[in-house]
This record gives sequence, structure tokens and C-alpha cells, in this order.
Amino acid sequence: MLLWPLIVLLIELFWPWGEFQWKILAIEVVGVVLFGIYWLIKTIEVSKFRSDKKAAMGELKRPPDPWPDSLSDPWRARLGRLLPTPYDKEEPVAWPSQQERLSQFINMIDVDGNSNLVDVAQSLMDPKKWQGGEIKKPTSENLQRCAKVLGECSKILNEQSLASASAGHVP
Amino acid sequence: MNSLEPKEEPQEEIPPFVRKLLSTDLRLRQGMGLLAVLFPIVLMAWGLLVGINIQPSMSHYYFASPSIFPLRASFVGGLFALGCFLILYQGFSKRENFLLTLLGICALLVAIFHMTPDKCEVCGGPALPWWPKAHGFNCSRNASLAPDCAFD
Repeated sequence: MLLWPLIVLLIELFWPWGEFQWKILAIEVVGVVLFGIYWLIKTIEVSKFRSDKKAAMGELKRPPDPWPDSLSDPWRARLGRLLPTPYDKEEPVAWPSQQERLSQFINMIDVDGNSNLVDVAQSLMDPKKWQGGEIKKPTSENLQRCAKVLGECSKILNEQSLASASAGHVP
Repeated sequence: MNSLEPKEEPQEEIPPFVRKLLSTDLRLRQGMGLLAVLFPIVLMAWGLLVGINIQPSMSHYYFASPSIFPLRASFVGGLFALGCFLILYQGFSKRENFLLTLLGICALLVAIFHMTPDKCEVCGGPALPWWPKAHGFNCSRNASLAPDCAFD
């Protein structure tokens, strides 16, 4: 498409086959059909890669302004106001990421009415509490389960202390 | 099997209204693309169907028949549909939006400012002497703007 105007110019200047009645028509048809095909391919691309859905969910970043860096700020502002899109006027919606939602979910899990999942797993794995008789010593199978819980939670909550606590008990 | 591992990637929940908007946008885009691809084909096919030979250019279909101009409606209508869509459609960036709007305006102007009729006994020629020159100018604007949109 980018080359088509140049090709048209070359055709017009160096057409070797004399008078051709439908030359202009052929050039126009190729140009319009090329644009239509480009538009359809772009539509299929948007649909296939779900970029419209990602944009709607706030997962796509807008491309930077195309104005050259050398342009002064007042001119940037003027050009920026030129036919602004709704995206330019509105702040992007801050949807929570998957990690944030999982982290909220972990904190919501109430195991015994007072403690969340991480607290319970940590206390079960604390040898001081078994020795003091505060809680019954868990079986090795339960300890492994707690270690796995802490390992997964450490990935989601991104807490190194949980990872190291978990690593000490994984066989 | 580790029960903590997720079995599959959780799908993003898109609100039904947003899904409807996205579906509308996709259909409008498809319709616009099809309209552009079919525009010259329909013009020529319909012309042949009503007994008008293939014209030297698409603009010639404006005056394709000296008495009834049956293809003027499809030529002007198609260009207006394409032009209005291009103006109203919001591009993915400011530059694309600007170019699409300019392209749409030029498509409308091509339809409004007709070319000089080659031979016309009933139309009386152009309304104003400069009218056909505006047609040529807008045609060339369209030819140069469309590739810009493609590479934006």
C-alpha cells in the first residue's frame, strides 16, 4: 500500500503499451481493494489476538505519541488536542492483576475463625509451638502439605520469608 | 497430584455490555472492510447488469448514463458510507485517528465534487467551474492517505 502511489506514478510516466482505456479504473480498483483487504486483515488480527478485549480490560498500554521528540511542549499539547480519542480523556481503569486478586483471596481464607491460611500453616510448622505443647505436633504428611501451601503462597504474595520457611520442610 | 496447582488459566471476566460493544466494533470493522473491497466490484457488476459498459474510472460512474444516472446512487452512497465510517471510527492512536478522519473527509469530498462529465447532454456540466478540480484533488489525497493509515 505504501508503494502503490509510487507505482501509479511510474505506470503513468512509463506505461509501455500505449492507450489503455481502463488504466485509471484498474489503478483505482487495486488501491481501494488493497485498502479494504488491509482493513479486513487488521480486523482479523485484532480479533485473533484479542487485543480489543485486552484493551477493554486495561491490559494494553497505549502507544506513545508519534510526535517527534524535538517538538516543543506547547506544540505537543496542541497536536495532542487534535481529534482526541476517548482513551486520551479518561484515565485507564486499574483492574487488579491476577496476583493481586489471588493475594486478596488468600487473605480472605479464614481457617479457624481467627487466623488466615498463611498464619495457620506457619504456626503448624513452628517447632516451638509443638515443644511448648501449644499445639499437637503435626504428622510429616501434614507438614509437607503446610510447606506446599506456604511455597505457593510465597509465590503469590511474593514474600521471601514464606519461601524460606517452606523450603526448610520440603523433603 | 498437587491440588494447589491451577488446572487451567482463569479466563478474564468481560462484562456483557463491554462484550457487546467489542462485538459491535468488530462487526463495524468487518462491514467497513467488506464495503471497501466490494465497492468497485459492485459498481462494475451493477453497471454491466443495467447495460452500462465498464467505465474508464470509478468517478465516471457518476455520469455513467446520460439520462437516468442509475449508478450515481451507489457511487455516492458507497463513498458516503465509507467516508462517514472513517470519520466516526476512532483509531488506535491519535495519528491513525487523524489520518482516518482526513481520509474520510476526502472520500466525502470525492462524492460531493464530481468530475467533469466527458459527454453529457442533459446534466449541463459542472455547477461551478472549479468543481471538477476539487474532485481530482481529493482523489489524489485519498491515494496518498490510505497507505499512511496502513503503516500507522
